[in-house]
Amino acid sequence: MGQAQAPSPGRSPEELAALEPTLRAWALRATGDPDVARDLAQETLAAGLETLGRFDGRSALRTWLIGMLSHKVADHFRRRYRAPFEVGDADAPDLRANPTDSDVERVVMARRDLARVDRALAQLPPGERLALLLVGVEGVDHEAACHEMGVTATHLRVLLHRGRHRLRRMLEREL
Amino acid sequence: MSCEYARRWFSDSFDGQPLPAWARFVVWFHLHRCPRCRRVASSLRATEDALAALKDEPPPESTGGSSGL
Repeated sequence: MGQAQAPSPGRSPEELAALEPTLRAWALRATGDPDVARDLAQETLAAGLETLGRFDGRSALRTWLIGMLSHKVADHFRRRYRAPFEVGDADAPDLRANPTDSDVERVVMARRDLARVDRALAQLPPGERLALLLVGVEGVDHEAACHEMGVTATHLRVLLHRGRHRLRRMLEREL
Repeated sequence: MSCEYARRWFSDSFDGQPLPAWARFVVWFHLHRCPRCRRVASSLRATEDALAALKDEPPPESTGGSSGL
């Protein structure tokens, strides 16, 4: 006699729908466009509802949905920009620049003024921004981030280190 | 090891990517000798902390509308 399977926490459509503001906020941070963010969040919710039965609970529901959303953000960038994840040599000055002690202090203080961090993040090229949002903010592992962005591990590493150094330089300087 | 090369390795160490033992040693040795890179490493760590702090922070309604391009 089989036992009825207890519903797993975090799997109900209502719980999924409750994450809509989180998804919209995440998409806004990634794209900088409220209309696009709303559309991408809704598309993600629709896709999530459709595939909820396949959610295996190995990650948090939020992480699962953000993975899906970041895939859609990457597709949006590809449709909108030519080669959005291309990396050039434009970061070399950021990589070579040496901060002073007061510059470092400014970055430390940025943690108390997250609006500054948001403004700096918005100025990054889209690929670097998306990579930092996935790995630096969400803590997604490299393998999953590569999958969602559709880039190789080497490409992701380059996006991350360029993005980090560029962001560092922006926070060291007054924006 | 040049400063630029060492700085590429710092980034990897921030997201749990295990560096090979030789790379950890070379970076450690470089940081030991190079005050400028020590400041860069501190600044990068603070940048990473600020990024992580964004996780539970709602974004401003408009981030300036910049696509970054």
